[in-house]
Amino acid sequence: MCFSQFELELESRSKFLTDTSIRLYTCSLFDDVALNRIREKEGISGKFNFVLVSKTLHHLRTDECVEEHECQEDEECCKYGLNEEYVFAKLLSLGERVIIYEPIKTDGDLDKTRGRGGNFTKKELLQVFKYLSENEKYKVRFIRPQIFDLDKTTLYRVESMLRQVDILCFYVEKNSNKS
Amino acid sequence: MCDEKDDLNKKLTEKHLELEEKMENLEESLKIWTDAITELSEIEDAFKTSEKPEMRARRFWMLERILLNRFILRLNITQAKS
Repeated sequence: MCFSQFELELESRSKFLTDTSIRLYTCSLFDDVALNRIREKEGISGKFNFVLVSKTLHHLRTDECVEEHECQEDEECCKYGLNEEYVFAKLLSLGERVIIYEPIKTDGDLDKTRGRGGNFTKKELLQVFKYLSENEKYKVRFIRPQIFDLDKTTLYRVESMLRQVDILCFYVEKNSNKS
Repeated sequence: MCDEKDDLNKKLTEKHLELEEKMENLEESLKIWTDAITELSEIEDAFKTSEKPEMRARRFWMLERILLNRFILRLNITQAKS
């Protein structure tokens, strides 16, 4: 029997047929003990196929201000940095593919607490993509607003793209050709 | 007696406020998750894995299960017609 004729239809319909259970946990991504406890409870061993970081990458900032100013006690004007190497290594240790869906800063940051949070500026995002494109250990593909692979030769497209959109989506995988 | 009642009222009020706050936080978490799931359709291309044979195999397994359900459904229809 040939299944290929049904594949497309089944693939689209499977979204409605697949049972999904969702459980909510509160846990820091960087708290290995708590994270492992949850994984154990859920019977999860090994990596996930996907890790979706939905509007959350800017919450994975460090706890050190990168602004050139004298930090006030309330840190209202402070902005923590992002350790790209550490964050992506951590995310890729959890899943084969890390999908990032991230807004770009417009006026006002409702979710900023001290120096943490606060959406990324275009400049900050450009820095992230520069880092990812310069490291051959990553395979990066943009999904939204347009689909293309990111590398040194396509980095030039990112700057103009960031000027035109307020949200973007890309994914990162370990490059199987590089260690 | 009156003091005991006041203490109890105070404790209950505190507990009520505490639970109310907890409930608000949970509602907020649920809204974030619901929004994220609703937005999945906008980024479904990010989940395409045709270049990865091992994931493809898993997907086929899922399809096979669905196909089986459909096949049973079709058989039932045929039986009903006859």
